[in-house]
Amino acid sequence: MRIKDIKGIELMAREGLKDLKPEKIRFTVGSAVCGLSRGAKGTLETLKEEIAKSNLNAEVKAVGCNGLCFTEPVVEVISPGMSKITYGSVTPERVPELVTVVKRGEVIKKMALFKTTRHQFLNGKTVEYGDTAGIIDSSEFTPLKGQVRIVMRNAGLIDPLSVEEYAATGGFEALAKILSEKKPEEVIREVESSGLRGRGGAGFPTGLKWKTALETPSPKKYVVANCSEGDPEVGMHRSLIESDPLNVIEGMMIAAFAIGADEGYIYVSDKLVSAEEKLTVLIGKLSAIGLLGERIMGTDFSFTITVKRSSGAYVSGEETALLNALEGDMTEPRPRPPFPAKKGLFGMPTVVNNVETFMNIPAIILKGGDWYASYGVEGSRGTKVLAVTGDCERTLTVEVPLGTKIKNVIRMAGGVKGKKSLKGFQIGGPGGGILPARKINLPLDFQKLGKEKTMLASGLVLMDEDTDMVKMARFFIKFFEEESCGKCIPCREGSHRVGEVLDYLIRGMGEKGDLEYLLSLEGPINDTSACALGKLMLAPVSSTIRNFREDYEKRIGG
Amino acid sequence: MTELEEPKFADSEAEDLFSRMILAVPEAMKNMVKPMLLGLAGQKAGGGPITVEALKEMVEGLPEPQKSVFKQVVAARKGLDPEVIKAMIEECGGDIPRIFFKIMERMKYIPQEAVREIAKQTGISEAHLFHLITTGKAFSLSSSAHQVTLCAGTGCTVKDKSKSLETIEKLVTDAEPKEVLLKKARCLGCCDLGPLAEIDGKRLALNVVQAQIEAFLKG
Amino acid sequence: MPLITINGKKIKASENVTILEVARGNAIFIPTLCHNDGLTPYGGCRLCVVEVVKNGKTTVEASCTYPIEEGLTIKTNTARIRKARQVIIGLLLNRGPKPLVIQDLASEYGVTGPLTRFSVENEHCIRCGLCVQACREIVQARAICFAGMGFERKVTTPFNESSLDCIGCGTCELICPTKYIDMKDLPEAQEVTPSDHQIIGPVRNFDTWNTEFKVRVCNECGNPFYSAQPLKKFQESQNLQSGFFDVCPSCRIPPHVDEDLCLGCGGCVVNCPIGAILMKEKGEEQKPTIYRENCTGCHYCVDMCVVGAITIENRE
Repeated sequence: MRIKDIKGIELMAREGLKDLKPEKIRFTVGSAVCGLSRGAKGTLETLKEEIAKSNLNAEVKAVGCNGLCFTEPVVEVISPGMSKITYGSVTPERVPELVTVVKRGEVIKKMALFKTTRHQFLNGKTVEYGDTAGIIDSSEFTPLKGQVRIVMRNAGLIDPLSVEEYAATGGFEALAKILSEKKPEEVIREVESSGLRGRGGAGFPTGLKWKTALETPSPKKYVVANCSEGDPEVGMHRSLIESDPLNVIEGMMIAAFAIGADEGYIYVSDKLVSAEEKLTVLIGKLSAIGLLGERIMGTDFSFTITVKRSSGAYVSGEETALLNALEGDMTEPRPRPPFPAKKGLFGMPTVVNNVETFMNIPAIILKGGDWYASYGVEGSRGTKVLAVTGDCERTLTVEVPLGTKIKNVIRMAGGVKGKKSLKGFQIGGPGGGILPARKINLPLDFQKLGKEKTMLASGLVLMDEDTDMVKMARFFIKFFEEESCGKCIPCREGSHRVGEVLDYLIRGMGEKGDLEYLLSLEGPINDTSACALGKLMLAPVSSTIRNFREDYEKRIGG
Repeated sequence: MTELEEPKFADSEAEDLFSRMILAVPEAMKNMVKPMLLGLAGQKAGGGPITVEALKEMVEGLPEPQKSVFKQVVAARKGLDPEVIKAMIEECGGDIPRIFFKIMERMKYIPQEAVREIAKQTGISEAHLFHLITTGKAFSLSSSAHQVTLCAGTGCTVKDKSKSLETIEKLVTDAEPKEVLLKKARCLGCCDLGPLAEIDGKRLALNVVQAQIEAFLKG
Repeated sequence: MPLITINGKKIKASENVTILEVARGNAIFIPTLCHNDGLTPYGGCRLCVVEVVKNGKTTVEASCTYPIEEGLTIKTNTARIRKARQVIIGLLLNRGPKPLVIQDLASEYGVTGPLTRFSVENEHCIRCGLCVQACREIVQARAICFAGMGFERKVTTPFNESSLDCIGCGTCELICPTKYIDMKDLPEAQEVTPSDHQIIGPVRNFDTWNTEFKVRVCNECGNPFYSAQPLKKFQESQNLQSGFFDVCPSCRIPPHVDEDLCLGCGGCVVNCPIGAILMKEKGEEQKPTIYRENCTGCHYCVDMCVVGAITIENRE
């Protein structure tokens, strides 16, 4: 069956809806990387066995991660007439009891996290479930309180490999809408009005980037999704792609239509093997039904996507180094200007965006840029996905409106583990430095974080009172040393020398003048480095010297 | 014309295999060993052009430890003959990193012969292929008996209060790369379970990982 | 023609040029290490940084790669720039203080070093990439590369062994700013084995690349004229006769045209790969003339001529 117009999408959606509001019982098991590491595969297998044993009319599906990593494996149960119940820590041993209870039409209260009575999708359609008493609603579940799920709207809900289920939640309606009624300029205006800024860390206005690419005349243009995720503090992009890969693809297609591209690449980190597999399977499915390839939905728009694997370097997340890698060249950054939107892949206009940025696009098109901009604050519109890790009580992935205070995100994560006190935290990735605990009132805001010499990256790492900040600084400098491509002198030589000083300090052989020397390097190395990796290299050192000087002082000799 | 008489090989495969063997010889002895081996191989070839078979026969007649060293060289060649490489290149559409990943999956490292063959068949210079391998953290030029993967993510590092990851890293870095290969992963995606380490793909508790590595290294 | 200001001077620059090109065209000196006019600008050493003011915002950019546009204000020697260059030179001194070009820069910018607080690598190679680039872009042999990343990055041949692609031209040695590359032409090298030693004739040796080439010696004049290995490669890839390179270019005797047999068809002219044959008017007809100084002796024309009018003179 080839999809020729919106009616085809609607037909698929109807099929998908049958799965999301099934007539029989449906069990879903969170099977992204975090779930699998906690035994979700065993849970899935045992569920299938127990269901067969007890002759229960039920199905089991593997879904993605809903962000509640601390309580994996997560199993959700939809029984007709009852609420959808979300259970946590459902190890294989607890499955037999679960199946028995579900068969009886009851709930295991001590294992249940919360209930859901209603889902509303992007296109306004809803799915209603029953109302089961005695369990808190999802809106009252602390880790979820304050979250707004746009990028993660389908994470943990749908079968990531099902085009029908994706369509049921409003998927591909945005694409159908722009193909039938909109012009590229109108699409870009919508994205501009949303205020969306790049989610990879640099925060460049997405609409402006696309506009530059559209306005650069060229016979060939490209769209590239950056998922090289070399940051040491997140595995979250992997989880996003494994949970809702079609969201990325649809976002890229809308970008391609907007700028006039017909070819796209998804560049994934070498460790994202399962994400790459899922993407490849779905690209095959979409091509077979005509949603990728020539003349999509009967229009002039054609688009193909290829998935490419990086060889594992952090620097390949830098967009020009990424383009060099795609071209088969050395993985080193290029001089800028010219910028990729004007002259990118093979010299053609190319839009390179982070996967998270693309995952916002279908929602923006379907519900409007103004709707998106209603979340967040001036200059920082929309939502952000954050992976909270380190010394937190609950490791989890959240999606919150920009402007949310960091301390509220910490609350979702249950505060510091073991009720210790917070010493510092990192919000801007390895180049974002470490901020002191008193700064937790800062909002997730591009400008305000920029003023604090940090950035809005994808992970929030909490560090408790026992953290040695000099060793943390050394950890980050070692990271930069290992990931420096070696092209430019300041980063290649400088990172090694800074590391040498930190090693002296850690061994208690610090000398007077060491800290001043390190701080004096910051300006020149920032000025002369060829790319952001070198420019931000000294941030972990200068921020810890500024905010945690005592940790250093005690290591300096007389 | 003063040029040494060139040794006669039956085909380029034999010539290649011989030069691979010579590379395994310590630098200081290369000039001495080469003519000696040529002579031996020539004998096995009955005075005619030297074939791959003659070289294999010659290896069998050598004493240890040379025999094992050269047998390894011969075996490495088996893993990736030109036809296999040709199929890989076609399957991967000429995408070099993809070809490397395929070879890594099969052999856990990328043999020099494979690089030479890929260069011959694709026209991409050996130098560039060597660059791609040595700047790609996912690729390895030598095989190791064991691989240790440490999660060098920020989350795991912060949670590792007793600095066990550091201890394990030092243990492995001080050892020979032939025995244990160290890989540092940047966030394996299951931060809740951190700090994390794997041996040969199996995730184990940190103290177990440390004990196992110490056992390998003792021999 | 974009109008820009550089060090206070207003200049009309050409289209499609970089800041460095404009500076050099106006006698403004900017130091460089990794730049060469014959190669694509790399932007690796960062010594050429300058201050660029665009739309009121000041940034520091590498002048060798930054494209000129209308309205830029450029400052090439401010305190900020000098400080940046000093840091780079300081880092280079610790990599290795011996190269003269680094010592010159150090005295020019008042940098003392190397700093003993750090290790001193004492290496000559500054990873400027000029050799790699020249081998790739100009010679197109692609015999050397960058291996490894960061501080451990080195310039080397594949697997640190003798490169099969190297043609022994020595361009790398010529272009290296720090004399890192060691090339020696030895007229009489010896190969020593336990029982014997043999003189194997002239060799060109590159210790840096673990590569050594026996040099082919001409059968006629006895002079060494080129590395044997690349000649063999060329002969095989171009399907030339096995003895083709026995004679050096100076000793080649070009073929002879018998004008009585020649039809004037021009087939030899079209097929000469070098263009060493031209038709000249001989009375009412046109006959080919072979230009000795351009002829490589490949003898294509001999093979091509359908009436056998072109022959090779007999050599005694």
